[in-house]
Amino acid sequence: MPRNPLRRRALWCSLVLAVCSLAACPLAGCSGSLRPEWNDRAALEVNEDPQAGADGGVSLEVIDEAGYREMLESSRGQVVLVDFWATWCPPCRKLFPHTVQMHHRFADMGLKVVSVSLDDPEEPDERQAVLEFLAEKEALLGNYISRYGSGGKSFEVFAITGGTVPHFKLYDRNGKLHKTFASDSQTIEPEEIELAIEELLGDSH
Amino acid sequence: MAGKWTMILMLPLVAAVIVSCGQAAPLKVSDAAPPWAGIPGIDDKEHALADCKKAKAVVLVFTCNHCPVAVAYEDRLVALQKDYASKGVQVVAVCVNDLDQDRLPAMKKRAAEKKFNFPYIYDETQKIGRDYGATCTPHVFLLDQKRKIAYMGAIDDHNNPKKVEEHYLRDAIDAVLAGKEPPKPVTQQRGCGIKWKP
Repeated sequence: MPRNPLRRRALWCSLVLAVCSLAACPLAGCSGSLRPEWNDRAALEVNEDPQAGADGGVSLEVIDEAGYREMLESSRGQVVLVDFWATWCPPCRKLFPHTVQMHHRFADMGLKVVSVSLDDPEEPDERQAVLEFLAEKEALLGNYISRYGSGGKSFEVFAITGGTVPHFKLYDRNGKLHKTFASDSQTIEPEEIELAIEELLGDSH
Repeated sequence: MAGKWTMILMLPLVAAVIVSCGQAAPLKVSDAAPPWAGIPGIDDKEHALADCKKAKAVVLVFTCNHCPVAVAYEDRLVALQKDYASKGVQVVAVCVNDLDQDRLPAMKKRAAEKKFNFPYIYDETQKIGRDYGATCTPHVFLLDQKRKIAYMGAIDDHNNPKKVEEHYLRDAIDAVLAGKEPPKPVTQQRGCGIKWKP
């Protein structure tokens, strides 16, 4: 192992990248491997939840890691902002209107806004609470609820490092992870998200 | 075969966790646990790591009142202390949040309601949080008999007690008490971000 901590980290990262490209990979830092083996339509359709309800035009679908990759893949050409949130997370609820606002402001310019709730899709009450919240915020976004609920697996498969929500990921028009906004060590500043979106939208035209 | 593949699939996750902790948390497994002292508790006494001299293992858990995830784990901490007291395990709960609803008066009330059977202490300086690199509540650190970090991360794998499949902390304690290394020394902690002072 190299002594220099930076080099050591670089080594770890290349290890992570190497292994990621072989395996289904957590999304952060592994954008190279997002290029999918996505010919298997049958497998994808399993992700479409027949029970997905609708409320005030707001829809909600269960999503897992495969569905997430597919969502990104089908959004090529757009900048994608993903808001990982939960009804049990007050700071998430507070930031959510800003996410909806981003949709209104930038959708025409090529931004796709997606929400992924870490509530439990198997608990009807929680699912209902998510739908009600989304309807109240008029969140006509791509709304998803993690198949793994609030469990540790959600944080692993969606690479929510730091273990806290709210957590935002911003992808460029090629589906590459551009920036992550995590709330584990600092408060997320909505202005910073906005700035990063504007940069990306400007860049890729 | 399936087992092998699971291991290979897990590798990037484990590596990612290690990398991310390298950035956020200065502590690593097998590092000496940073000692603490003079931290007031809900009993109005001052608490120190040295108070746990006799314990074979110490569970230091960063928690608080306001966070729904931390609240979801309160009963599990009480049960843990009850189940492991006779085995020489001491739970110490610490709150460092800079929030009114997470300070001592509120902590006393909550601890009484939930019948906490372990010390619950409040570090206004937040030093213990920085020393351990705590990021959220709950975030646990298991200290072995030599007071080295044996495990850090989440208590288990699901906030909903009915859906827990992996009891990371209990498994780690069992291993440490048996003189072995925990099966998963680091897991991803989850919860509400610690409220640091500006």
